[in-house]
Amino acid sequence: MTFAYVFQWEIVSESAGALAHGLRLTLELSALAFALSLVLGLAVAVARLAPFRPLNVLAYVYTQVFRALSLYIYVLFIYFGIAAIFGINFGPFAAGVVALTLLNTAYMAEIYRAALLSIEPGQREAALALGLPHSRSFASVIFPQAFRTALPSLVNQLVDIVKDSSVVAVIGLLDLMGTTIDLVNNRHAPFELYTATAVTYVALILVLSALAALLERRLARHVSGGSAGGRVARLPRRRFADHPGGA
Amino acid sequence: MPELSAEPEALAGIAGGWIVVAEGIHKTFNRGHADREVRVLRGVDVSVAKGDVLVVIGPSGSGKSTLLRCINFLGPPDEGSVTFLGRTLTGAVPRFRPAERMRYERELRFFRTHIGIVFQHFNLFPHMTAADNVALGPTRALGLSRSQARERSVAELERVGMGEKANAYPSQLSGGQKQRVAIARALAMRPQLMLFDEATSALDPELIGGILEEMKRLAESGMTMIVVTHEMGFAREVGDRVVFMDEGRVVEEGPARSLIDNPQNERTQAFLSAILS
Amino acid sequence: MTAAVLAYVFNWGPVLDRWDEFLLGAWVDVWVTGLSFALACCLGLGIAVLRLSGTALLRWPAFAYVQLIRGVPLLVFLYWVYFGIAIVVGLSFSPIEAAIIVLSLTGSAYTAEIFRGGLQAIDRGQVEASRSLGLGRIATYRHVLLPQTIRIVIPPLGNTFVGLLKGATLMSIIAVQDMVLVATNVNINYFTPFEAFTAIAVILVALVAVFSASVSVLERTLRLP
Ligand SMILES: Nc1ncnc2c1ncn2[C@@H]1O[C@H](COP(=O)(O)OP(=O)(O)OP(=O)(O)O)[C@@H](O)[C@H]1O
Ligand SMILES: [Mg+2]
Repeated sequence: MTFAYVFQWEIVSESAGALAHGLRLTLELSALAFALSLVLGLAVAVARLAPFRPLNVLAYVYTQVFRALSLYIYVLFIYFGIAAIFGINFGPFAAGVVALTLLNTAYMAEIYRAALLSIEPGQREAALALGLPHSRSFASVIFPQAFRTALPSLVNQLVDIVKDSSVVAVIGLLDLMGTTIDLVNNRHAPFELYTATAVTYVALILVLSALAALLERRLARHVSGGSAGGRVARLPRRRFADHPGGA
Repeated sequence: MPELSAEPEALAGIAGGWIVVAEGIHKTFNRGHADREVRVLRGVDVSVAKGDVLVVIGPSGSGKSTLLRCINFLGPPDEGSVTFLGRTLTGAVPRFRPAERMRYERELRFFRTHIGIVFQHFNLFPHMTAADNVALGPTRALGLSRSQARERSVAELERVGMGEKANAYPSQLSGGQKQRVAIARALAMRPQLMLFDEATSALDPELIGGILEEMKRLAESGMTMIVVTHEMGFAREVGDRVVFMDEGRVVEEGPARSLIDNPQNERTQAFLSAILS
Repeated sequence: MTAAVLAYVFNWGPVLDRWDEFLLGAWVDVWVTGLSFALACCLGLGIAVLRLSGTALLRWPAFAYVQLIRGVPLLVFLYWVYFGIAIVVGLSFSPIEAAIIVLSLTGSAYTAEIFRGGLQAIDRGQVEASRSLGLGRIATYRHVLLPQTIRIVIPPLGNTFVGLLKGATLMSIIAVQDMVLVATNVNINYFTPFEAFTAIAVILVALVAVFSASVSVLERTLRLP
């Protein structure tokens, strides 16, 4: 085999501006979807644990079904299917946000649920014994503890969101991946450009993972210094997720 | 695997009748990490004659378990040598010389297959029945057929009164029963030397006697044993010799009765009076 | 809004007529995932063993591999292998080969961490007991460590499998004839996006449900008394 390929790394440096722009879009898309699923995930988790059976079932079905679908199918379904039915023309960005949010809300609901269940019943009883109404005791006693327990896992979910968001490029969003595909079509240097993009994603993911790890250590220290004899609830470490994300 | 069997004729000719001689054993954990370095053994010599029971006593952390693990090379010594049935092995692994490495591995296997060990926490394989626990070594290390190993396994289990539980899993056994299976597992290898590392320490008080009884019977059958224990009654009655270890050294050694009844060293005296009171 | 809803005429005909094509496509997703998963497990186990090695020279590359692979989005990896590597090396993979390569390599980074966790969860006394019986390193892995590890890793490995199955739906992008491609073609030819993509969503949910149930059964079967 004659190895005649001439690398053209200069194309990467010439494209740096476009790639940076794409990266910004990737970050915006991820951040928005992350924020939305952070809120909606809690709502679904509360619905699952609320003392109202139909709501529990509904929330359970949501988490089971919506975790089973891949992001690509969400994107197709929303961008083409929903758009056709309702006559709404989602742009790729909006479709991406909705798709990422639907999937990650289901994941985050499970994280919140585990965290909420890990809070000792005694905490709730103590709050109620102080005469706090249910909603108050949840807001000021249960939730803050659960959130702290859940936070590292939630941040890890951001890692998956960033990776998954690359799929939205398929419907033409010019995020980091979309920009790269575009550049490849014009400059014909697929190896160099995809390598550069892969490296960018790896760097981004490593930073975010490190952040989650740092957060986890911080919180562990903080919590263990807290209430005397209080068992610190910690979710199973998800620093190393066991699946390659929703893709 | 003929080279693994210890021929009885060979045993007769061993110098001085020693089954095992450990000389100048040194062991340090976390070597090179100045702050975490622990010198656990600092030049230990012990030897056991055929059919004898050597009891090792000493305070927690004095290195008794580490010494046993040096003798069967589960945790090889940093310095010193162990001579077992006339074969001498040191902790120096010939890493980059394939031929010597193979010879070393063969010697290691000889040690492991002919030295049985019983652990404080049993270390039974939870995914195997009692019979399979006992049969594993004979099939995988001695090359017995499945049926031969099974036969031997059931016989060994019966010998320790566990014939009924051959098909039980470890989780279905009491502590005492687990330790009996562990003893059967070691004996199924037909070892020439048995090591006991606090075999009764993890047991409920009412179960200790049974296991000690088992060990005593084994000693009476002529087995050569090294026993780490805090049971002074057993040491005095069954032990032939006792060594007292402290801070990685043998502080005092002597015939079991005289050492326990009449310790000479003041550290031995302090330890014995603390443990017997 | 209401008018818009009414404007869309549901037409399940094209989807229902092609149920066999959908199932055939789903089968491609399933076998590609199954094969990739098997490869990922073999590779992952090897990497896990390296990760636990006493030699830093083996431990570090294994660690770097895991970190690197897990940072690359599947789609980027797929394009890198299918378009990027092809042009450099001068040999091109078929779409399905590229998909299998990408899914197995990605999967291996996850299974490696799962196996490592499983192996580390086993008490050191188990290894000592096995070695004291004269079993060698490999026999110890085979008869003592792996049977115990398997029981620990089945649930997380099940998650990895589901993740790979979901990842496999991306391969239609490089023209592998899987169920997503069938749906896409139906949509292009009959303009029934809702029906076409609902169909594959239902298939995927069903596949995941069946698979999760099988994992639970397997877990229960292997559970020790
Ligand atoms: N793998 C290891 N790494 C570091 N230190 C170790 C290790 N194993 C043992 N040690 C240390 O070596 C010392 C001696 O341990 P060893 O288990 O031999 O004592 P022992 O005499 O058996 O005590 P015990 O009666 O408690 O069983 C202890 O201080 C222990 O902390
Ligand atoms: Mg000990």
